[in-house]
Amino acid sequence: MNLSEELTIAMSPHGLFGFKIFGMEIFVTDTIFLMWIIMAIMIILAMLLTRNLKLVPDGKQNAAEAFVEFMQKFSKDNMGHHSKHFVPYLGTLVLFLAVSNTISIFNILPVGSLMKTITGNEAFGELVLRPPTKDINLTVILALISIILVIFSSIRFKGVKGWLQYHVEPSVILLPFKIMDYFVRTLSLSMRLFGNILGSFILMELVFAVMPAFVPAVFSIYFDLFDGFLQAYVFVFLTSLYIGEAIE
Amino acid sequence: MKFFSFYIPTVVFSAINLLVLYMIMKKILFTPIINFVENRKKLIKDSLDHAEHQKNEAEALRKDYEEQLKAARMAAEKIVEDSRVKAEKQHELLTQVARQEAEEILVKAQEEIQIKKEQMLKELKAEVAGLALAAASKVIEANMDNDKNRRLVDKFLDEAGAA
Repeated sequence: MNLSEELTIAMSPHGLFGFKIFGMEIFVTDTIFLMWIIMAIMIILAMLLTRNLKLVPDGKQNAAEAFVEFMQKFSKDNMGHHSKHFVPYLGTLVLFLAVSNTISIFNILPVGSLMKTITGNEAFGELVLRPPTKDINLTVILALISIILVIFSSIRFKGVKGWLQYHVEPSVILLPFKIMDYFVRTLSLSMRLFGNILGSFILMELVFAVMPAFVPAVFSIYFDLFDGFLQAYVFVFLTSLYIGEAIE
Repeated sequence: MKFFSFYIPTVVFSAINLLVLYMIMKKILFTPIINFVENRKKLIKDSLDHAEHQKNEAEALRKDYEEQLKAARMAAEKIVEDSRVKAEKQHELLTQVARQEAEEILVKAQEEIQIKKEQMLKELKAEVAGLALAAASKVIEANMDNDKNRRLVDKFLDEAGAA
């Protein structure tokens, strides 16, 4: 197996186990499975951080409070006075993306072989901790949720009439562009995240294939950590900007 | 599965995952922390207000006490002043009485002296008269010349004048 074949396999999502609904075989891909792992990590962390809250916060409670307050301030800056409704979603999103994008720095952990021995399923042998956001199916649904959230919040806070009016303001000429905006924004949000994460993932795989020692660690700081956090921030920032524009 | 292919089940599962994650995170992280911080803010604000209120009260109480103290001090000063004035008056009175008494004593003493003087003068005159009589009898007894006689009389007169 040459390098390009290896890379293609590493890049592609693959089914781990399947079941039949209405005569159709449906596979749960490693993207979904990795999401479950990330969700479990986030939920356990959140439970640990918010266990027995104290009036005088200690270290872990400080971290949780600092994060929540940062998200509150971030939302307020970008969305104004209705911002408090969006804090939980944006906070969840930025945490999920930050963990997802950077999870490949833990790919040394033998999650796949562990699952293989537990379940006896051969397909888990392929499972490595890779960022699930390199799967376009996930980034597309993330972007779609953001755009749906924009439309819903616009209707929720300005009414159907206000939302429809938004498309012809300040001039009717803008109508096709405003409609096109929804598609362009979905496309740009999903493709930006997908492209960045897949690109840095491929780059890291190449670096690792060429120089397995030390050098990947240095590159990993930029491509896995910095780019991962940056893309998480950019995605949430743009989502909040779109929402802020729609509800103002 | 190709790396750039849409697979609807993944999309659907991802959406479900994200919604579930959102609801769980909202329930266990965001709502508790936001409520907790909000409550703590309220608590701190309440205690600050309470402290402010108590401070104001204490300030009012202090002013009240200060006024009372001032009034008490003024009353004390008045009492001291009054008693001083009273004492001075008494002192003056006593002094006057004493002076009057002293003057009375003095006057009485002078009167007494005067009486004594007059008495002595009377006695002296009687004596002088006696002496003059004795001297006259003596002059008559002795044969005296004019000169001697005159001298005697002069002397007598001198003596009488001196007394």
